Amino acid sequence: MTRFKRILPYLILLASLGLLAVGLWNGGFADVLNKARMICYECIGIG
Amino acid sequence: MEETKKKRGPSLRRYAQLMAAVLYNCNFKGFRESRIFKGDTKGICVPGLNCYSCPGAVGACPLGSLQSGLLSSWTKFPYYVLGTLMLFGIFLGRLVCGFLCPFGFLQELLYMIPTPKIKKNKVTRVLSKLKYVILVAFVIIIPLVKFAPGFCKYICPAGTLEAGIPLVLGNEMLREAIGFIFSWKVFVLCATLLLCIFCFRGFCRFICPLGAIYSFFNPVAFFGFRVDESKCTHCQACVRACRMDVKKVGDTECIQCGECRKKCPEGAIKFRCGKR
Repeated sequence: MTRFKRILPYLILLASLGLLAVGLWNGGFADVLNKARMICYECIGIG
Repeated sequence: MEETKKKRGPSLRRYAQLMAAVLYNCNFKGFRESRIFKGDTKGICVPGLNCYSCPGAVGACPLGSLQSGLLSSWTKFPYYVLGTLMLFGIFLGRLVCGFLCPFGFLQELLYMIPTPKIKKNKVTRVLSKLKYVILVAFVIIIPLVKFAPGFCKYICPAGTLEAGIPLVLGNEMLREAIGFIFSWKVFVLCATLLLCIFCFRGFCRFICPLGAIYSFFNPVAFFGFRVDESKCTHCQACVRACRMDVKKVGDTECIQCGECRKKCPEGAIKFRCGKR
């Protein structure tokens, strides 16, 4: 259990880097960019 | 003498909070022109809660991006946003809340207003679980089922303060389009700000879903305050000194502000960087 607790952060780090790589590969950056470049009407309470 | 010295100036954490708020919102001409920034840095999520529709924002809000990604997750899952959140989480945990969140900074400034304060108690401990309900209901279920960014649309006071009010004030077309939801969000904002005058970081403790996400990583994050068990006498001075609803240093409610370290009589609380 202690050993698992010790390696857990590294597993999470690996998983996050994996997700980030997959996300960048499938255009996640562009999706966020396209959304953030426009006024979000829901965020400002109009949409 | 030492007490006087401590109260002399703002702490390093205050400077970090101020720096983060300025860095996230450094498109100053956006405020003047009531226009949002459209540069490529908007594709990068910032760690703290900072609305991407704020005229000054140069990065994306991770929570807004997550909801937006979940809206279209039937066709494309938001791996990029999830990966970013996990990366911030595993390195910093809720250190983001304590050091890098502009809305957290604002709440702490409001708490400095001299009024009677609500101390942590059993009710606040129960209420601190509410943020997990809000995370599941408004950030995950509503975007998936109702196809609307539930938290941004119905709750987020940061969006109203940073984006809604400045844009509506500077843009006549937007002013004409406001309706019930805008009024509701202004009410939520006012209630939140009022709460934060009396209750330390009321929004972070009870409502913020971003804090809820980071809280899962907090006990295992690479950076943060940890107790040296060999020195700890379990006197609970750290828990008593903390204004969040913590049960122990570094748990899910701890925002890693370091206030406990100053109060520990044994010097058992240390900042840990990376090495486990």
